[in-house]
Amino acid sequence: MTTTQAPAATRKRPGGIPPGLLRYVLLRISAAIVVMLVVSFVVFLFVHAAPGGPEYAIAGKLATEEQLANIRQIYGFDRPLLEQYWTYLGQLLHGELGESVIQRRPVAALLGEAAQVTVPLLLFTWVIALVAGVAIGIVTAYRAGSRIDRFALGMTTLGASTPAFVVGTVFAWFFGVELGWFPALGIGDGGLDTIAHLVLPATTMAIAVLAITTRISRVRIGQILAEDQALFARARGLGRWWTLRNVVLRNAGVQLITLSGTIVVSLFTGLILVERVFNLPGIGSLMVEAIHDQDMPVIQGVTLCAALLVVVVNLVVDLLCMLVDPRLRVRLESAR
Amino acid sequence: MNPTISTGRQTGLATDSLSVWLEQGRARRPIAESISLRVAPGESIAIVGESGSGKSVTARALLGLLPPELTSEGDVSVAGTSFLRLSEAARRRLRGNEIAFIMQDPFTMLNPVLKVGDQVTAALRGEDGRKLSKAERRAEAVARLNEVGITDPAVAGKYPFQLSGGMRQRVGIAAAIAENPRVLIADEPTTALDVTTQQEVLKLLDRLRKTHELGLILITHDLRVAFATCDRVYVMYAGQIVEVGETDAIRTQPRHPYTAALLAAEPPLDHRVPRLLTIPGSVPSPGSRPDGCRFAPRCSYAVAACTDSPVSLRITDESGEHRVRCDRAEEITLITDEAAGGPAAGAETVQPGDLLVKMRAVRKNYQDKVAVDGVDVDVYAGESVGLVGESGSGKTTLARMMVGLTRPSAGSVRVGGVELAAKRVSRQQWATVRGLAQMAFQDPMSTLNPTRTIGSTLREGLRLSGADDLEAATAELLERVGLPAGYAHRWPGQLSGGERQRVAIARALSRNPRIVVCDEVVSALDVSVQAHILNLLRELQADLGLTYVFITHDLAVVRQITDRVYVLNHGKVVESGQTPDVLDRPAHDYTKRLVASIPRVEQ
Repeated sequence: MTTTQAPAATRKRPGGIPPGLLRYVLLRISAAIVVMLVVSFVVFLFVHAAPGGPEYAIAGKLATEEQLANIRQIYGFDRPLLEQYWTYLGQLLHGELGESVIQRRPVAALLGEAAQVTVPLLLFTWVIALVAGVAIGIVTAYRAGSRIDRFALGMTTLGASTPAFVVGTVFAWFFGVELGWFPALGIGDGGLDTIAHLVLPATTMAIAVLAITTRISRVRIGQILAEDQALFARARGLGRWWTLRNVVLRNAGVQLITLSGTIVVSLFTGLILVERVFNLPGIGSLMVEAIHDQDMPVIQGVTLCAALLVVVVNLVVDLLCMLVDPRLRVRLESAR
Repeated sequence: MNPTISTGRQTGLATDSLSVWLEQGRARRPIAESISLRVAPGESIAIVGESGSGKSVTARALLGLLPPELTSEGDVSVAGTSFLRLSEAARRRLRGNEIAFIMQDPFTMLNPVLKVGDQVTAALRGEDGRKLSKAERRAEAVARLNEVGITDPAVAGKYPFQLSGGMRQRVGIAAAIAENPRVLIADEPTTALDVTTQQEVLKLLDRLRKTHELGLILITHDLRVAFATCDRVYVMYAGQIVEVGETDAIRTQPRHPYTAALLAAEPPLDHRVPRLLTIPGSVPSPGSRPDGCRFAPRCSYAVAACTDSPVSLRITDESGEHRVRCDRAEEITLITDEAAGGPAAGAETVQPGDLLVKMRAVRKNYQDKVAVDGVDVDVYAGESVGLVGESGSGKTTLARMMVGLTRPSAGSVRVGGVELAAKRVSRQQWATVRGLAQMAFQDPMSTLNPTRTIGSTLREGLRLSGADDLEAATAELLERVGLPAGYAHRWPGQLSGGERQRVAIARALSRNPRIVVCDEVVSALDVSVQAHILNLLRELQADLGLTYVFITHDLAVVRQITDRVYVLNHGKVVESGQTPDVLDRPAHDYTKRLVASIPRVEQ
């Protein structure tokens, strides 16, 4: 009998995280922190880059010289720039994002209220776009070239090429006003009512990205189905569901996770339009108003939030990819 | 229903006039026609054919796993039932359970993100059909892997990418036969493996056939593998079985001209022949197969009557085992390579000319991996030097260093007096090296630019070498490599594999080099095409006085084309010398193992 020895097992402390992997995770987290620091500095400079100087940005164009001096005094604009940044950073870490110039309320509170609308909307949209996209991707990949495939391709492309405000308006009119199935305006009173209020805006946003999620998952799943491993699984008589779970979805894992991260970020930019159409008091609306009013602290706060979202999503995506693909993981585990 | 089909349980697997069609709109083209074969439990049969013969499609038709554009007719009997008439659900139950399949490439066959143990046990269920517990699964996995010769229990917890090719193929086999099927279809199971690994896997299949009473269907392009492993051989050509018989009968007394031609085209391992016998033309594609005998246009024994009407498979011996699809089987005497002449010309020692390439203590590291580890190689003008080794031996890296495509990490590489390991190599020096040494690659499809015509590709090199009349020079170059001048206007996609390889050689010659470095130039080709290319390379050497550096894993090819050989293992030269000496009297253990691994019939 012939025997073959496996290559020597990589050293691994039982139970512990391998040093290579740990180092990677720590490195990724510190990189994320550095990026956030850079962003916070740029955001801090917003005020100073405003036309006429920071005091104008806060007091407005009509302020008197006395008011401006007063503001300089309060905000410490006469101190060195780095010192000001240091103070700003300290406030940020305590969750103090300043006060809205227009509403005279803490920016953190405004953001918190808006997030209660935006986060459920974002999550809802994200789930619809991803679940529907992957589901259509699976069906069309299994029946590549069929009528369903071409129909799905046509419809998702149509959806993606129609501007969101058109889709939103049509939806609001048809499902909200004509049929009266879902409320077309506002946010509701929490719970199920809020979810009902989110159906139309979330669907509208999801349609915009559905073409991308469908196309990417269809292409990747089609590739996997054409691979030897899929034929081998069929030749072994392994069931459809086993193959779907263990061959198709597991192998597409990295691409699907990356895709879902990309969508979260692109959805965030799509929020502004959709929140306007459906009159939702979310972060998008907050941003639009703040820009209109030149409400600098709010603009800073929203920008920081957006940056934080992008950085965190990317971090999570990278770490999750590491988790689902052993080829990425093991290389680091064996590194010393 | 056909009575022969109802005896399935006894026969293991049998097909009755199985045909496969390509459906293109309303047109139907036959890919495989009326294939009738059988394999009994514990028996092994081989389906042998070149690319385009329809052998792999036949394998997939046996499993009912054809791609959507192909349909099959006829029947396959598995375990006594008409497999292809069952519902898809019923067929799925039989797959893995009664009939199993392993594929050519162990690197793509296994799921890269699933642990080996989980893949092997995926189909296993307990006595009562319940799922196995984690501990049971692990125990089963270790036991199944042990069966295929993997004794280290830790392998079950590894991922495929952590294993070597041979190990992966073993895992694939363990997964395929996990449910103890009666029939195993193996589609080129060793083609992607090194010779030494190939032998181990073939031995394993042979052992499993005996211990598991497995009917083995081996699909291969390699007659040596078929002869060494199988009881009976089916030879396929252009979608038909052209000859069937016991292995010995096919090997020693082939009755079909195609079989004989294939045997003759196979380069012998033990002696050098002056010229390999070749088959003119190429395998016809499904749309353009001739009427009458499919092989007639390429057959040197063909007469006018051969093309009149379809030829049937006839019994030609008393026992009824040897069947041939040739009307003239009784009339003709076939020439095999023995008749073509034994050891002869070409084997004489070449008088060494100038030292063209001088490599001393050459090393190449990739991060912490050592690809080439202190190697000395000399290449003299006019000789043909072989670099032999398995994957990972460093032979390709060495070849690339010779033409300056890879920089050595240490040591000295002098080509035509230019030190390529130097910090700076001037433009002038590069021009000297490029004009002196050119390379031809294994896969011409990926090294020929698909958006340029053949002529435009060749003219590039000709311009650099200062040819006056580019058109005339291109035509001459094509003629040199045995292609019509009109091919200058064709695209790489319109050529066959052998023709593309000729173009790749022509491109290397376009700079009018003295050395041509050939990296596995024949390993992706069918035997009959390989014979053409080897003959061509020899003619070119004689006509142009070329020097070859020939990188290959195939010892029979080494015997035919090289004068001296370096045997490489793990980045080191383990043995070198005159080719006949090294192959006939290997001194190093590794060389001995390499020579012993060539599949051969045990006498």
